[in-house]
Amino acid sequence: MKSLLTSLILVLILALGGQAQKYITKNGYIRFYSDAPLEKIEATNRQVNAALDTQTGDFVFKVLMKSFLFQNATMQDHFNQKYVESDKYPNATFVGKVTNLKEVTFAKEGTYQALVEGKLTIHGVTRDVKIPGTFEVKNDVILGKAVFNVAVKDFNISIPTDVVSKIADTIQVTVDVVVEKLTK
Amino acid sequence: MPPQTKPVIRVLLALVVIGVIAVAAIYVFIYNKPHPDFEKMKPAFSVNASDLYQAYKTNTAVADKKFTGRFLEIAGTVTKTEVSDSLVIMVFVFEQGPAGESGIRCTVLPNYKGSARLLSPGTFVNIKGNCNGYTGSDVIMEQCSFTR
Repeated sequence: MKSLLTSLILVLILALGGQAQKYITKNGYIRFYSDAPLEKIEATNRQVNAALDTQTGDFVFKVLMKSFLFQNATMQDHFNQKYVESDKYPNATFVGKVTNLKEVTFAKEGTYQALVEGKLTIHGVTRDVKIPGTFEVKNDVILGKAVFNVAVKDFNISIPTDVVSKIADTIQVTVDVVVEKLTK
Repeated sequence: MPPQTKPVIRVLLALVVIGVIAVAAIYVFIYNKPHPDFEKMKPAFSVNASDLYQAYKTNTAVADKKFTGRFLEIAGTVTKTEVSDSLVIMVFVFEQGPAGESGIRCTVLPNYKGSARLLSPGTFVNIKGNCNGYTGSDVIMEQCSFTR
């Protein structure tokens, strides 16, 4: 149901009237990094769907959890089967808005500080988040970048006691998307 | 040292050595196991690319149970190949909508990047890879390689 909702939001955002400028990507990048006492763990996903409406500031992204790739196969299995339970909750989503839209001139090349606020859903739990980042407008594409922290317990992700010293309570998330104008 | 002590020490030493070997084996083969060799893996079954896409679009929950997390072979006509940073992605487009194209996106294994980039649009291919699920617009496959 949530997957359908997000798709609907994505379609609604992108079906807005003629003046809206819609930018999308299907190859966005998200990395998360855990720095724990006994181990550093990193996973990357390069198949992130993201969409931006430069007129309204609406910004959404959606990512398949199974597409996060770890160097260690055991950690990848544990991530999917035990931590995020990706069979039950296959996607993570963000639905939000650029709240300082007046300070971001998407029509002009340059780098702009942005604040994006919205709802982040991971493991079936939705939280309100405020994420500072940047938008760089360059050569008809928009590069969106942000780094923020996520506390695993906020999303009901339980770490077994035997690996608790190997996985941090707070995970650093890096988002790096290059969105291009949607051409019909 | 009493004569019965030496055999006891030998047994204890042997147990310590066995214990160290066991821990090392657990670390190497269980905790630190490598990813499978996807090039050599046999697909669980084959499916037509269009049928796979339609299955997810029609009923994602049912398609998830059948296909998500499985290593599949798909057969279909490639629409295009995208290159993005270090990725080469074969794309099968089945629909155009207000949110862009929809279909199947297959990220190719490193050894197959060259041949994937040379594919002409409209080429019929058989490829295998891990089916990771459906984003609401595309079926995502990873670790893809050509089977024929």
